[in-house]
Amino acid sequence: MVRLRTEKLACGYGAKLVLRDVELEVGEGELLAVLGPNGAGKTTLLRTIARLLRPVSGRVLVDGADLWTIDLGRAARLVSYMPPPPPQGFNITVREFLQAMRAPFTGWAPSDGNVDRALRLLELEGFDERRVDELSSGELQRVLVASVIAREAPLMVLDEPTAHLDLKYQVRVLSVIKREAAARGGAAVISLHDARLAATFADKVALLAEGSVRAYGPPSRVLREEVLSRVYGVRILVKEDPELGFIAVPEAPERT
Amino acid sequence: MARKSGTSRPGFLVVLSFSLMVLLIAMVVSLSTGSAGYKPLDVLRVLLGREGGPARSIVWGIRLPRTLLSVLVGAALGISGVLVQTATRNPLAEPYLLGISSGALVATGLAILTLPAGLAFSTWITLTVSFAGGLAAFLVVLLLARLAGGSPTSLILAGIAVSSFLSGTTILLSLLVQSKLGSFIIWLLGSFLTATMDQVKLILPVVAGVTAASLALAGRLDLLLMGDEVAVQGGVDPERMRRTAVALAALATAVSVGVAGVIGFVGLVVPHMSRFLAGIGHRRTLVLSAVLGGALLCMADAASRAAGRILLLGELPVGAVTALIGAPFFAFLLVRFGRRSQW
Repeated sequence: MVRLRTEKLACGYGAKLVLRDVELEVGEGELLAVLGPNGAGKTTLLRTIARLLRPVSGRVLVDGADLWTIDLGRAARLVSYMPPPPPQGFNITVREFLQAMRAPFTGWAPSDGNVDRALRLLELEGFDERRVDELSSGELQRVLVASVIAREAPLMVLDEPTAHLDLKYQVRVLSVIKREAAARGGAAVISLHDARLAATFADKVALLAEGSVRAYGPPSRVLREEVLSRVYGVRILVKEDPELGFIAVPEAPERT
Repeated sequence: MARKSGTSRPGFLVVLSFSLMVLLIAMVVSLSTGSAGYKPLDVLRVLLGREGGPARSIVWGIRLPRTLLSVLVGAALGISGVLVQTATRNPLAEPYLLGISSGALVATGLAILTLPAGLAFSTWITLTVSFAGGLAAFLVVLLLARLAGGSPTSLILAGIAVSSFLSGTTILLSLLVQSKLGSFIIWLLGSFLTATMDQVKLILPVVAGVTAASLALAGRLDLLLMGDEVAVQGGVDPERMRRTAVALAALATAVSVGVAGVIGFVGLVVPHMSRFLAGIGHRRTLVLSAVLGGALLCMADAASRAAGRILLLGELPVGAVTALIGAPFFAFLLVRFGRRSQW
């Protein structure tokens, strides 16, 4: 069991402060969804949690230990961040990419480990020898998610894992992430735009706006009509439908 | 749509043995090419010490150093190409992008212009001057890139800025050295005309050292290629690794330019050929790039001598040959493999 906690965390780039007083906690297989308007600091927060960006102040704690003071190799085995696509023009195959992502868990030679399992979970069987350059953006997105699954890190951080995905794979990807987090006894921190997906899959939701966490807690408490409408600056209708479940949509604009 | 493979590659040992064979053949051809028409068998007998006389001094004194030097410079350029393409994550990058060639050229031009002729053309002076000039330009590129944030793109742009400025200076210098333009052109276009065993002994440890260091860093280079995020999470500081990679490439390239002038195209093409054949893993790609780079440049040098004789031009600059032969060959590979990879 691994727990991730942020303590009075302030993050940003150099002198530019993006977020302050971030206090979040996840563990025991939980999934934390970070929502907020464009530019609210979702990516900044996720990169700071994943040790890619040094906190301006405060700490990111994994089982009580400061992620920035522990050895880089150990940190890499604890936290895994969904990478951006690899560079174009190098003829990198899907398998080569996934193997490289497993580096912290392997020795001198590249190893397959659970690469095949990750490919299967994301319905990418037969894609292993395909070149990353030739994939559609949705297929590439699934490969990026698979690279996090192929790593064995208990803490998984994914910035917009559902980007470019069709309706089926949005659900598929989130259920895979949630199941893996639970199976590893760790946690997943993801950013999302779809409040409905957050309500369906997340155990906790953090809503970011104007440089801080505006609401934090279980989805039912955070994803409310008045909270969402205030944060996004547009009227957002929320319904709990017995058949369709949780629905949150912006008020229909005038037809033009 | 669902295509199982199509990029399945031959085993690495097969590819490596084949490449080593090509290298060996290239060396034998190179040793047998020249105005004195010795057959490969004669050359072999000389090398085994079974033949004396003029053949001995020509093969040992002229052709062997030249062959070895072209192989070493080719290997250096091949490995430098891999390092620079990985560091910049740009498949179009090549060692000369770092400002090394243009820096070396400007320094050499200045030396030819200012030093007395006897001094300016000694091996040691030219090597030292061009090496220093190349590294100095590279350090400016590195500094600029760092000031611009240290990203792969900033490295490329800094390289272009410095190279362009120095290229302009080179043109100006070649006008000023007019009377000695002939010797300057050797540097501009690249040549092994002046190869000596001393040069071989000099660059051998540098090339061997850079190769060994790159191989030791192969795992980290794999990560660096995949992205800064992947590198950090693999326990590698991407910016430092990037600087280390380009510094190694700069070292190998600077000595290459120092002994043979500017030879284009090898550093760009060889890494692509290696990746086509062996995938992106740096352990394999680096080894293969050294072998293929050596073979390619050795062949190109032999071709430059043979073609020069046929065309009655004495000798063609090897840099022109690498471009003339290399570019169409590369275009062929591009179309061939590019098409195969589509379905």
